[in-house]
This record gives sequence, C-alpha cells and structure tokens, in this order.
Amino acid sequence: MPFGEPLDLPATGSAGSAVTVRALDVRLPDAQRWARPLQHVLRGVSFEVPRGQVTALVGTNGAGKTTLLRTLSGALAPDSGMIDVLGAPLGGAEDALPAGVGIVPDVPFQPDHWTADDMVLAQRRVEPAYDAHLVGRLLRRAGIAPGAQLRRLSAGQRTRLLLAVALGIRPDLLMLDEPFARLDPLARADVLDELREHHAGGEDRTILLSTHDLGEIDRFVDHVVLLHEGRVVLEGGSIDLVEEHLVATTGAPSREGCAEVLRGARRSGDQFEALVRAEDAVGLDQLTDLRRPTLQDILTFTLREVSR
Amino acid sequence: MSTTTAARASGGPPTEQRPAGLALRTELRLNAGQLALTLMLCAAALLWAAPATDQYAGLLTLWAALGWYRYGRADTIEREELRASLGLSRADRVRGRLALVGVEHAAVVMTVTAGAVISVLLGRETSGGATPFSFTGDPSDPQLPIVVVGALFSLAALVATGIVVGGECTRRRPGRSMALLSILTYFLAGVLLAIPLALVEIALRFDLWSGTGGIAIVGTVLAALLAGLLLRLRLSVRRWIRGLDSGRSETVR
Repeated sequence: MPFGEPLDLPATGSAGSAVTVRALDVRLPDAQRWARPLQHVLRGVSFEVPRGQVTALVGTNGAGKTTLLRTLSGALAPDSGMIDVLGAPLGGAEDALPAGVGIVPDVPFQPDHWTADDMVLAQRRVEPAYDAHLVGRLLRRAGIAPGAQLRRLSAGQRTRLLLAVALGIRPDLLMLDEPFARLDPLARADVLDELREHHAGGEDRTILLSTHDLGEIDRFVDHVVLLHEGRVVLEGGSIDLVEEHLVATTGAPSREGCAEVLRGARRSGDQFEALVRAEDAVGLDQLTDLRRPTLQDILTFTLREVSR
Repeated sequence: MSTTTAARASGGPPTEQRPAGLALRTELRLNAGQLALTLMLCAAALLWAAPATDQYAGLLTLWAALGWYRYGRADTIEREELRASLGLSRADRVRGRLALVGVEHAAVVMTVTAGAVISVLLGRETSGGATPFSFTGDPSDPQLPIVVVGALFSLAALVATGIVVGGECTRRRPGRSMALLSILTYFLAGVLLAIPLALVEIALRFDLWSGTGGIAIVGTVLAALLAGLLLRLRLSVRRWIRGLDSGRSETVR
C-alpha cells in the first residue's frame, strides 16, 4: 500500500478479518493542560486484522497504539468511524466486547492487590469455557504463585501473569499492548514461545500486538500496521512488504534526481541509503548496492519519510 | 452463569441479555474500599446513637450525597479496560454505578432510620432524618412515623442530588467542583423539599384537614415527591447513556 494513502475498505467487517477498523477518529482531553482541551489522538484510522494471523501494530511512542487498542476493547469511545471485532460492532455505548477476546494491557488494569486467583475468578464468571488448568500450567512455568498479588510481581512476571489469564479464555483474538516492552531477553523469549504455542493451537487464532520495535519478533508477524501521529501510514502482509521493497544505496547526485522514489533516505558518508519499491529500483542512477530489507528496515525508512 | 454466557456470545448481544448483576458485582469489587468505609461510618453512627443521640447519624446522608462524586473520582482508564475485558459496555458501567450508589444510599438511609428507631425506643426525641433538614414533627405525636418521614426525606434529597450530578460523574472523571456541586445540590434539594412540608404544617396549624393525621399527610406528600424524583432519575439515566455515544468525554487519567 502506498505511504499514507487511505485504505479502500468495505463498510462492514469482512469475513476474512478478525478486526475491521474504518475511518476511526478518537479525541481525548489533554490531561497535561489545565483546560483539558481535546486532542486528536486517532485520525481516520482504517485497517484490517486478518483472521488467523499475527498482526503487529507498530509505531513510535505517542503514535496512538494504546489509544487504538483501548478503543478496540470498548474502553474508549470513538468520535466517529466503524469498528468490528469478531463480527460484533463496537464503539456505541451499549456495545460490548464479544466472547473469545483476550486482552493483555501494557499497564495492568486489574487492581494491584488482586492475585492470579482473583483474575481467574473474574474471567471464569464471564467466560464459560475458561481453562483454569491451562492458566495454572502457565503460571507454574513462569514460577508465579496463584496467591501472589500483582504489586509484588516483577514487570516480566506481571506480563506473563496477564498473558496466562488472557490465554485461559482460549481466545480467538488476543490483543496485547507492548507485551515485550519491559521484559528482559529471557522473559521475552518465554512470552514469544507462549504466543507461538497459542497461535499454533488453532487456525482461527488471531493475535494483534502493539510494539514500537519489531526487533526479533519480525519473523513471528504476518501482517503489519504502521501508525504515526494517529494515522495509518503503512499496512500490508510482512512477506509482501519485504518482497515489494528494496534498500538502495546510491551516490549523492542520483538522490536528487530520484527523490520521489527514494523513501526515508539517510546519508552514510557520500552515499545515500533509502527504501524503494522493487519496480522503481531498475532506473536508479549511480546505484551502488541493492539489498532485500528486513521488516524493521521498511518500518524505519517509512517512519523517517513520514516524519519529514 | 448461564445468563452471563449469553452476555458474552459473539455478535454484539443486545442489552437485555447482559446480566445486570455483573455490572453491579464489578462495581462492588472495584469500589469495595469506598463502600467498606461507608459501612464503617454507618456502624459508628449506630453505636453513637445508642448511648447518645441519632443527630449525627443524619450527617451520613451528606456523605452519601457525595457518593456519585466519590465513585466517579476513583475511576480510571484501567478500570474502564477491566470492565471492557469482562464484556461490559460503557452503558453497563453507568447502570452498575447507579446500582452501587443505590446500594450505598439504601445502607445509609437504613442506618439513619435505625439510629432514629434506637432513639425512639430509648425514649429520646429523634432528629428524624437528614441533618440539617430534620423533621421532628409534634413531640406529642407517635415518634415512629416521624422516623419513616425522615427516611423518605433523606432518600428524596439524595435522589435529587443524583439527578443533578450523576450524569457528569458517570460520563467522565469528575473534578473537585462536582463535590461542591453535590453538597450545594443536596442542601438546595433539602430546602425545596422542606417547602411543601412547611405548607402542610401551616395547613395543619389552621386545622384545614381536621381529623386527618398530620404526619400521614406529610408522609404521603413526601412519598409522592420521591416517586416523581425516582421517575426523573430513571429518565436521566437513559439520557446519560445516550450522551455516552457522543464520545470524547470518557473516563481518562
């Protein structure tokens, strides 16, 4: 998809999507200022989360990822737009999250005196098929006592507890907000393993996770939505994006001549490195190198381009 | 559990299928500390009523009038996320809050009434309700009906306060001005409710309803006013929920 162009999505959620968002606008009061003026946090956001795939919602700090996930859970009200989660409309005052959606927040939304048992109890009341045995197994694996209060756990243990509680739902859709942000490498690998295990457990299991850095999870991700200043600036399948782009290294003069095809160019000595669409790479002047980008490369160059 | 199951069925369940109890249970769990404090104050008021006076039990209604503000103030976006994760809509939050405040008001009014009954049983005059708008009636009249009138008066003042401040306190996290507004509304409601009662007392003094028990008339007038206020509150709650759809006023940090 071209950078920053609006998506052409159907008016309602499509059958192949676990989540469909269309023209979503969210404004929130700015808590930093006394008069709390409304701040436009999400602007005309449209994207789809393909069913059965892992979608990464990527963006820098303050891009609107957490606000978007909170709106997708029904915790925040949109000003306008359409949201469809597992076939259920969301956004109206009476709309509630359907069954089979697990949420792992960045900051725990449960009171910090709650224990793992409290959380399991709360979920069991509303999720008839809640798998407490699975939660127990995951907690044992993470070395978390069922009676341990949330406030007494380390950041890594909290994430693993919240993930275990959400996985107990055996969710068709699992939404995670920055699950790796506070984890050490070992805990990150453990969480990734648990996500992989869950995802492999059923064809329709969809994961939507937000992150500001794809890092080592780029091979786990099937679909990417890049958010910048409240707008979707890039969306696509990971493989497609990597195949459609190249990183070109060119001499300085050619950069001037081909500015419109070079995205997010950065200077490296007397050379320029930039992202190009594969079909545009053929006619580049003073081309010294072409290489296949990583997903992280594509996101970095795109963010640099849209930040200008 | 079965109704809850229906509530979490996929495809956007209609409101009627959602268990009303879940919203209240969630509010009770989230606000257990606040509610426990109120219950402790109630217990203290009752303990004081036995050896001394029920005068101060009436101050509890002032605390209860701040209930909409207190519970709204404790709200955070994290709580909103928790409710959402349990399949509760934003409208359910408003209904749950209404039920929670109702539970607290009921506890407070029952405490005030019990304090008054204790005073009567111990042979003292009762303040008979919501301080400072106590209704003592004629000391020669039976005291227990006065207690009933006092309870109706307290409830009516609290419901009137909820009608005024409830919308603001449930749609967004209330600022401290809402605490002030709650108290002012409570006092104003007390004054306005006292006017028809004063008129009834004047009429009784001129013996306009000869043969009719004065306290019964006052009670009937208050009951009618309370019924009207409850109806108005119900309509207000519908309006508050409709107002949630306008967005940008949600609970935020």
